[in-house]
Amino acid sequence: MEICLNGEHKNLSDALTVQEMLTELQIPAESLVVELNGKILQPADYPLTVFNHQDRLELIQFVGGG
Amino acid sequence: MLTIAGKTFHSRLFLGTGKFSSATVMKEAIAASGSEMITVALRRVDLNNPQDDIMAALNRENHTFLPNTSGARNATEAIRLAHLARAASGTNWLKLEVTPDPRTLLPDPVETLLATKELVKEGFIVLPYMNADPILALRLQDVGAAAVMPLGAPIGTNQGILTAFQVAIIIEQARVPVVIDAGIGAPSQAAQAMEMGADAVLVNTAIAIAGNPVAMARAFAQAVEAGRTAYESGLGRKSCEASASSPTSGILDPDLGFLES
Repeated sequence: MEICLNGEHKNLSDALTVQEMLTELQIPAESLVVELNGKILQPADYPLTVFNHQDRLELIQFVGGG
Repeated sequence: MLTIAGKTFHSRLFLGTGKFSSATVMKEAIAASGSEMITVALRRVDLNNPQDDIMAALNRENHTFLPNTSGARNATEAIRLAHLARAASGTNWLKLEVTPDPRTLLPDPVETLLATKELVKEGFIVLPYMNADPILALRLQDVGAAAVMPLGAPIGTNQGILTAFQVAIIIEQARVPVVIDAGIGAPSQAAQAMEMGADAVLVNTAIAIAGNPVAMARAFAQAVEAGRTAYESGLGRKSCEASASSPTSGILDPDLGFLES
């Protein structure tokens, strides 16, 4: 299965949840926002959300800015 | 004290967090500035090089975080970023930036007004970054902007308040706080903005790229305070004719024949 993660193609094993992917990628999560197919996911839904083929996933966080 | 959307700020210096050489320098500069309003940006996580989250380095209790929508080129993108910012920060505060032209980073007035209107309806506390246009400032406050943020000069240019004439009109007319944002490159320019009656200034580049950012943050804090005190004290009027500071009587007889020829 292939998804688009932050604008790049990524192959995933089937039935992977958002939570499992975040753990695998070791993303610091203080201000992380997950947007799946244009909709913001609530953290409570990370373990419940399974990817589908050609999903568009954005992982966003705060950085320094003016 | 400054109040925006019911929240009180002791410091009239707002600080951006971009371009600092390290998180440690940034934290020390924030502390030295005394600022209580801190801006941050939203970007994709760099999956090849995940950075420590900036929010972990900042004290959320003592500061109001003002996420910006930098990178948005139109109202639709800005609104999307606003939703992401609210989800990430848990706050409705937003510095709205819509800058379609990467060369000038000048704000799009039409899209900024559209986005302000929509986001205010959604419950955001919107502080729009805007060109120094007095009519646009009235339009933005009319649709519910909590403050207006006219530019002194384009972002990151350190050119000072090139828009002083228009900024003075904006300050005179505004019913919401006026925060001079962008272009302020030296403490003297921050003091100038405050002497003109601005309610606050937002500074990032001038502090972050200074030789000593922490000391520069302190200098800006002092300048903002001095400028505000000067404004509240009532500056003396300007005149085209000299007015002697010393007594004009009791002067020894001069020979001023050259003035009468």
